[in-house]
Amino acid sequence: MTKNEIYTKMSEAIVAGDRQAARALAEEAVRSGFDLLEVVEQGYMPGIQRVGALWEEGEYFLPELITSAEAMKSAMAVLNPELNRREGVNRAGARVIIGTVEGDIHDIGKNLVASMLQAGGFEVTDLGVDVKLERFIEAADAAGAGLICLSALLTTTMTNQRRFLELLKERGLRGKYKVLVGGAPASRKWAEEIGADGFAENAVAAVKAAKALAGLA
Amino acid sequence: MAETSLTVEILPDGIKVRAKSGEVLADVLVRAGIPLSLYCHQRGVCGKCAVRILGGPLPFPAAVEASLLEARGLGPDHRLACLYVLCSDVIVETLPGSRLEKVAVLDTGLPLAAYVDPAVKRLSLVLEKPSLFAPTAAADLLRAQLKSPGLILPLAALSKLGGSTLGPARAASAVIYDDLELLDLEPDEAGRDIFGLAVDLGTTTVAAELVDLRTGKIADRASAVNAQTSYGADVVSRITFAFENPDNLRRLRTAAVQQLNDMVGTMSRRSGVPRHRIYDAVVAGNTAMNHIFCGVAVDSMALAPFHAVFSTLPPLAASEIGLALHPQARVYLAPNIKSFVGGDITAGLVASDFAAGPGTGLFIDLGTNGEIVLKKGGEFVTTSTAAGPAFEGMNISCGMLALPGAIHQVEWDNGFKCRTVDDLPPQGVCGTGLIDILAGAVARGLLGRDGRIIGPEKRLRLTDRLALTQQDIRDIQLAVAAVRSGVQLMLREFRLKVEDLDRILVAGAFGSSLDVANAQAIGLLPDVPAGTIVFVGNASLSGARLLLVSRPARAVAETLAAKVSHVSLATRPDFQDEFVQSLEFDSYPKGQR
Ligand code: B12
Ligand code: FES
Repeated sequence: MTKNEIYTKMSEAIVAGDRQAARALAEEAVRSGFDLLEVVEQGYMPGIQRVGALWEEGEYFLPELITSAEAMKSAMAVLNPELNRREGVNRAGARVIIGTVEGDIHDIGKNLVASMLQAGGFEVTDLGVDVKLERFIEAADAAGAGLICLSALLTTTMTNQRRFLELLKERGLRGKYKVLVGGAPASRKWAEEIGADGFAENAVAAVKAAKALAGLA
Repeated sequence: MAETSLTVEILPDGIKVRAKSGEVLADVLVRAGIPLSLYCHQRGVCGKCAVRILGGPLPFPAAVEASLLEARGLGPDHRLACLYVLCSDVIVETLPGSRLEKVAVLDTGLPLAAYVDPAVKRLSLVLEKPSLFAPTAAADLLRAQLKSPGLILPLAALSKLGGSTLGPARAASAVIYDDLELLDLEPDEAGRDIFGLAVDLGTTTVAAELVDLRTGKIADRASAVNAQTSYGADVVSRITFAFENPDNLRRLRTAAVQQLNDMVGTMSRRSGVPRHRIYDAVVAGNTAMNHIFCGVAVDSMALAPFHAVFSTLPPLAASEIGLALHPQARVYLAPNIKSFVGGDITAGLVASDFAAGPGTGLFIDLGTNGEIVLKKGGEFVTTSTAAGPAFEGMNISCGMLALPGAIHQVEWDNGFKCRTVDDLPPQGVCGTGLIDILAGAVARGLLGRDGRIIGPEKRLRLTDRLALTQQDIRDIQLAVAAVRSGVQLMLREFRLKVEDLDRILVAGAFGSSLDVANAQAIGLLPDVPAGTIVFVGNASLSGARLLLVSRPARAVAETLAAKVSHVSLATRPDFQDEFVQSLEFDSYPKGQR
């Protein structure tokens, strides 16, 4: 098998959401002494990007997105420590804090965004649901994260996204963090209105937006 | 007089019961299970409870009794059961016209019937004139005549008692609410009707019926998209809007009241029933709708833990609400269960007699909130699954309510063959139509079980103008998954399996004919043997009508609403997996049949 054929297989494993294959291929790449950065960039990343495209075309829906993100995670679980150890490259990408705001317990969308961010190379701290606004700041501070992602699924709890930005301003921390908002009732207009740094409609767009905000795109 | 035991034989039922001397015959008949009409609540002024005494004493009737019997054209061997005091054995024959009438409750599904026993009644009487020798106040005479010393007399009715409206003969008809309060005193003209208004105040649709309170029959119906929709599509959006400032709450309230007044106007014009002949209204809405309708702030329902301000309320004055009915008309709200399970569900449960009998059952409302009620013997638990309004045609590009012109039944015959409500040219698709289309498309390979539209066009064409898009399908998938995962988790929470359910009642205001097999094929309803699932249609509206024509049903509703407990599925760790698995269009539970 040529290198390109293996990269294709890696990409296919992600697109198919085949966790075992994704993991096995990663282990093989490590054993064979491949250039792991190249493996990520040319093998796995194109896979998850294809998944994003399929989602945008309406071909893929939640189950597919979730299994692909899981496959990506299991491959990265093999590759990341190796990358650190062998090449001294800290692949630990930009750190992100994510959670569903106070008063809201919807977490399926938030979990998906978290998985896709992880699959996209971010280091994600997920605070769960019904998260007090203060907690986001504390956690970002503790993790040294520059990007905070707020999910809200109710038109009522969406107002907590606004309150969060006000809170940052009050504390004089607005310049310290970038804030990305999302969830079904949120919109670009809403994000602009409350002065958030970004908005994304879905988990695929969320990765793009996060990369742009982290200066990675 | 010593109490002696005696026998009452009841014909034509052929029942014999024991009674004590001194007991009133009406009480004995009721105790024996005879649905005797006690219209005036045993005041001896309506004549409805007349029976024939075949064997037994026939005491001389008083003037009022004699004239009531005469008015019904009944012979000398008849008496009013509510005035007949037992002193020896009797054989009594009940008359068909003296029994409570039964009226069908649901429009579709179970053949249930209820006795017509409304809260509002009209009694004809000739008002006594205060005599010169014993000057008693007219109001007290009226109270005595109605045998109701505690009768509440509003000013509006009192002024008529003194005024000239009643004419010299003083023949009047008294409209009484719940045997407690005089709503009006009107000149007695024969054939005066009493009507009521039954309302299903849905977040998406408002449906109303004008009901004859003497027969329980529907005189007219009307339905429309809720006028509040312009302020937000779902409950939470309305709550959010109301929460923003008090003026918005007023706006929402006015929209609802105005719309009902308009609907009453339309029905009144069509049926010839004037507004002021409507004395009672029952409104069945979800908790938020009920609060808004009353102008009660919904702030506490805006955020977790979502508390409601009220559950059961005593009847309100229609004039206070702003409903243009009879000036003294009352409005009864079907009691709410919890903040996201409201009076519409209570009404549906009562209408479908869900609580009856032993056994296990599930009640599913396929509306925006997707409420589920589980019955386990005498225990009741509920939850709401937040399915969204897809089945009411909202969020769907060519979706619409089940109004005339909506595609509501679809068959496959070399393409979709669509039938519309009232056979009008197709305007859009309603919930039942969507279910048929999806099941048909999956069976024919036009749609993958994963919800992917097969083929280059990426659309499911219905007519040359109408088609479902991929996004529409995705929205329906979310709605189906919400209901299905809700059912599965609810059963799991109470350690039950789908197979344990004796019956499943499905309610929804999204069409008159749900194809259960199609709903099972796409996983909206569990795959249980035919006959277990019964579609009861807009049970909320049927329930509102039941609560309107049957006062006892109100007590049943209040007791039930207080008994149902609430579970939140939100915190279950298996929610996401269940939800995501439920996105597939296939039947469940798996591995059956
Ligand atoms: C599943 C569900 C539930 C579950 C939640 C379980 C769970 N663990 O999450 C249960 C049943 C518990 C539930 C409860 C309630 N729900 Co609910 N629920 C839904 C439902 C059906 C699907 C939501 C979902 O998961 N979608 C799938 C995910 C993948 O999509 P998503 O969340 O939108 O996320 C995507 C994007 O928004 C974006 N995104 C999400 N977060 C973020 C964050 C960032 C930073 C970015 C960039 C992007 C992003 O990316 C995601 C992936 O592409 C919707 C209706 C619907 N059809 O959408 C209602 C819905 C959200 N619920 C609603 C309501 C009202 C409630 C309740 C308040 C009352 C009720 N009816 O029961 C309760 C409240 C509970 C609470 N305290 O918060 C309403 C909200 C209406 C409104 N105007 O706000 C909805 C819209 C249904 C409706 N129309 O009535 N619900
Ligand atoms: S119940 Fe009315 S007269 Fe007997």
